[in-house]
Amino acid sequence: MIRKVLFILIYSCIPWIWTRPALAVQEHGGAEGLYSHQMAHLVFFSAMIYLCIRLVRSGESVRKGWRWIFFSALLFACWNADTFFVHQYREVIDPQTFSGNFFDQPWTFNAHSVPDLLYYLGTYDHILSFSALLLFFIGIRGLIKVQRERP
Amino acid sequence: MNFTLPMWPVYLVDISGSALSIFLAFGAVFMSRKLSRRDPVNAIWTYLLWISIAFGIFTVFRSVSHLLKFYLVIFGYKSVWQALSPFAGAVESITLVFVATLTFYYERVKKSYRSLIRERDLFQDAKEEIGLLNTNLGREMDRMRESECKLENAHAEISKLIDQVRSGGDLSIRYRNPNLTQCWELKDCVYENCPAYKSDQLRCWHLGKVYCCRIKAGKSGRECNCEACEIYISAHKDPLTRFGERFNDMMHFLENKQKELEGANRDLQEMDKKKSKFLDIVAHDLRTPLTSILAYADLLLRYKSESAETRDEFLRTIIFESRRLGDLINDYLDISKIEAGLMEYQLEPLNFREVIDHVIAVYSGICMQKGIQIHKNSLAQDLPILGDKRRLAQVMSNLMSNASKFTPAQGKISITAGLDSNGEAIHISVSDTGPGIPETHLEEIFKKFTQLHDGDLHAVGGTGIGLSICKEIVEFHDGKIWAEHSKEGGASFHLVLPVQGPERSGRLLESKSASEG
Repeated sequence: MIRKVLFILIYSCIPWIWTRPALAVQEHGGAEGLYSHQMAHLVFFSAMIYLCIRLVRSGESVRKGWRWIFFSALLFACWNADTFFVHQYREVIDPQTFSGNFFDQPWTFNAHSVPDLLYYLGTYDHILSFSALLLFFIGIRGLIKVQRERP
Repeated sequence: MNFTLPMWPVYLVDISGSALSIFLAFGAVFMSRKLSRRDPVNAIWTYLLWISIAFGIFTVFRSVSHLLKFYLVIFGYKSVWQALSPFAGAVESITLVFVATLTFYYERVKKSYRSLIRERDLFQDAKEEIGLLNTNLGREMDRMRESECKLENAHAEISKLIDQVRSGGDLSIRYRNPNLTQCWELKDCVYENCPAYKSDQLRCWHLGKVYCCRIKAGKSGRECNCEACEIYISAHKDPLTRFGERFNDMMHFLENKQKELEGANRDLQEMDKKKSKFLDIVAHDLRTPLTSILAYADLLLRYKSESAETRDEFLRTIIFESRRLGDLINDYLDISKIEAGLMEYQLEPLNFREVIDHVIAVYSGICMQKGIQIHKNSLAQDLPILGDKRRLAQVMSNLMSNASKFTPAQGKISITAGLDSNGEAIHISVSDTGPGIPETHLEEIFKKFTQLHDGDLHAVGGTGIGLSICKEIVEFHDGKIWAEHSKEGGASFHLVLPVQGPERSGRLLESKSASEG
């Protein structure tokens, strides 16, 4: 019950934190807007953290199969944090940091500060998401093996 | 700080990551489906499948939108991408939330699945228990059927026995004790092979109590306590066996009763035969003196010229035969009275020595004619008793009559009378030197209608009821009569009568008067 109340509170507060119009690496303008997408990322992040905690508490995080799913959830959580940061930083970054034109897309990025550098690194989010998905796949395969071994 | 970083690696990672992610997403869905299909009962696998599908949708939309973005931008359709971008982003957001929601339900699904498993285990346990109960029930049913069979067999056996009882057939006990036959020691206890069954005394049902004792005692060399003997206990555990034993007891009792009845019936038949024989003898004996009387009376009428001596001889014969006829009739009347309980006694104090003297005087003539010597021993003292003088004289006459009849010429009759060592009874004995009585007939001769020497019956005379009358008379006087072998080779009759005393006299008179009243 307490958990439910906490979730409702978090879900209710999120729209009031980011009140500015936003743009992202991937455009989420118009009817969708950035906020809803960021909220989705937050919810997903919370879910992955929750799953990790549950797996650790139940002791499944060290069992074959579930161990990879645990790492997958951890990477998904990291990916969410990363994308949240990138989406959010994209709104405040100076447009002059991008230069060049490659089919209407910037060709170079000029990092003037550490956040700029982190933003650049964060744009490689597919590395995290792909790795997480790969670990999820490996985890399920491990579960199949366990299932086969069981009499 | 100023770094100039290329953006093309970012685009390259985006494109390649999106393409590979599509494959991985499909692979994950395929594997989850496999996992779920292998064990459809497990809800966790179904749950993982749904998460995989959600991830798959999310990844496909995200990757496709990324790839499409590059395609549209490169080929100059940026406006199209700008139109589609919000939709792709919305789908991406929705799938993200969907996956998250599913993840939040992980614990609940697990709990539900565990409770489901627990219920399934409980159900399995209940199923096993029901199976066990079913098996037990089956066994009980089998046992009941077996009991029914046993009951039916017992019923058939009982019906058979009842039929046998009704028809008066063979009453041999047929019940077989199953517990005993199961015992290794009594494997052969099946009807004809059973050693107890062959025995007249033991029956199969006795094995528990009697035969086992023999076996046990024989085997271990010690006495077997039936009540503690395991064979006996096992034999008595079975209620059907107990019932069978009781029934067998009852049958045994009936069998004994039947034997007794058969014995009584035989006795009656024998008695009837004796009575018929007695009637024949009586008729013959009555006719014999009567014929003699008639013949001699006729001779007296026809031959009036005969000498007085001859006529006197004829008359003596007539008188003798008449007396014999009278004696026979009296004996017959006496036995009838005894049987009907109408014998009358006139009790009075008397000296038995006088009775003996009188009887000796009566029979001395007959004995003298046959040359028989009469020896009297210890007849000097008085022998006071309370009794019927006439009846006691009848007893002595009977004994003397028998002695004189069966003692051959030149024989000897010894009469001894005196008080016994305590002085409470008088003891009289009449011994002769006749043929004697066989050992087996010493008691028989006092029974009614019993006579020795059937072939010579008419030669010696008598009806065979004299001694039985004597016995009745002596027993009325609280006395005792019996026969023995005489030292001199013949028969010896002994008579014991209690001496008269004031106390005994009063008691005897009182009892007699009460019986008469």
